[in-house]
Amino acid sequence: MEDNLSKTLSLSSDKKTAMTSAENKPYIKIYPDKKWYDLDWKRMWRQRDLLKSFVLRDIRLRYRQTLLGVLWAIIQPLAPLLIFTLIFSRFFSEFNQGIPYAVFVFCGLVPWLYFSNAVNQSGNSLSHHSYLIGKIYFPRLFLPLSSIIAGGLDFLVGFGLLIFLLLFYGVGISVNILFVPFLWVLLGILALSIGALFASLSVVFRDVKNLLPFILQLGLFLTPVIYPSKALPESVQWITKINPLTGIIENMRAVLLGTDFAWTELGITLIWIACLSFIAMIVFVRVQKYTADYI
Amino acid sequence: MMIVVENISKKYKVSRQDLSLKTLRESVADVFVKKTKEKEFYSLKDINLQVGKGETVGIIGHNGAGKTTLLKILSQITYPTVGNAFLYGRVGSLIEIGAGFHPELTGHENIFLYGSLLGMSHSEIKRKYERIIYFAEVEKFIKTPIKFYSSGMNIRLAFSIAAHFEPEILLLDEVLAVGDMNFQEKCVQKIDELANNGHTTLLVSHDMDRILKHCKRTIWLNKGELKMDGKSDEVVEAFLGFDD
Repeated sequence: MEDNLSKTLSLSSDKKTAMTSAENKPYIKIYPDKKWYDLDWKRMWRQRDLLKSFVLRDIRLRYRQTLLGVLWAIIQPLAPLLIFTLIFSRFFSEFNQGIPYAVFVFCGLVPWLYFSNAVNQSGNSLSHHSYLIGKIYFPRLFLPLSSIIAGGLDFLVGFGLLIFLLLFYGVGISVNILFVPFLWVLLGILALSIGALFASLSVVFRDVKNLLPFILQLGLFLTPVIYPSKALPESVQWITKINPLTGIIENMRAVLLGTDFAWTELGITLIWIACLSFIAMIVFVRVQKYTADYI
Repeated sequence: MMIVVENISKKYKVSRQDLSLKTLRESVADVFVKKTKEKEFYSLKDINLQVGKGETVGIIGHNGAGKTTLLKILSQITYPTVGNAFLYGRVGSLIEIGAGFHPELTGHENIFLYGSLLGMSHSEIKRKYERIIYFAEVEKFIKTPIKFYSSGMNIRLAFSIAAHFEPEILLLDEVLAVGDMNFQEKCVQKIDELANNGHTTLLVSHDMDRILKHCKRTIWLNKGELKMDGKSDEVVEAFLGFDD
């Protein structure tokens, strides 16, 4: 009996030493240099509930203070839909294979609005939170990332309207609609890469903040949102061809309206995403180290 | 050991600090125009420090001695120019409590936001939720946006969330002076409790009484250098007698 007890005791003490040696691994290591890929992945996983909190906060703040609340999520895409349909519907009918212009433009407008809002919000996220960044550490990527995710609610509302519009115009819905989440994820990664890039650049250069709305406005006209790429003269079609958004928007139409799939453009989109996310990561890791000192 | 600091230095460039942010034009100009001489200065110089489990160590020094910089490096807010540091446990950094509170959100929502900002999971916050609002004395207003809180209520809620985080390593910067006298006492008790429970604490303060009361050991930083490290009464006495 006593033997047994001493055995368990020695066993448990063995366990204890094993545990303390495991505890001897530092929980946090601080070095002057960070590896280029070190976005603090471990901490992001550990603190993942913070991302949830940020997303909830963004969504609540967007709708709580306004008079019309959630209605804004409906008005926001409907207003440009109305304007563009009134102005442009008669111009592009010959290219649209009989698809009503309102449906055509809304298929482009919903992803475009999501993209431009997400890039705008995430691009300003670091400078908006400068106060917080100087006071407490948390994975900085959560700031642009939460803007991208919170914007998803607008996308969902817009997408609901889009489906309503499809049914209203009798276009119908095919099983291809299942590709939409895939395109949406691509759009989100693209927006995050560009947003994170702008966010880090605006930490170092003040001007970038002023540049962003201008670039986004220009982007609307360089992307086949309100016009089909085929409507452009052939000599300038390369502009929409190399545009990373074309692959997403044209295929959104293919999936929902039954127009031709744009495989080349999708490939170009994927190449853009690979390059931009890589560059954005390197820049973001480099900048986040100094953010507190700069801001 | 819970905190190991090895040869940490932090260099700031003074002219850059003045500008803090460069415009594109300025940095393009920098390429062509001869750079204005940037003055370098060390906010911290070659700091070595080891803190054992359960120790409460005070950090004192005049303004600009590098106290906050040291705390910010250990909190990962800013990076050292040279040197390493290792922390052997969950760190609760309270450079300023309540950073991250949003005025439009309710007390309830802010508990989850600030709690997860500090490093708690939502399930952990749920578990401690009742204790947090009880300690902060805000039960009645928990569904009210905190922009309607008095500043005292605000601080009480923030401190209460932070105090219930229960990190293994606590980094405090003068946060004890919060709220009314009654609540201050409660805070001090809570800090004592944390220190007695084997939490390792670094406490930056200008208040020598507070240092003497809470810390057995104190380090004294002077112009970025570690001037003295020892028993609190000896270090405080030397510091008070020191005339630069």
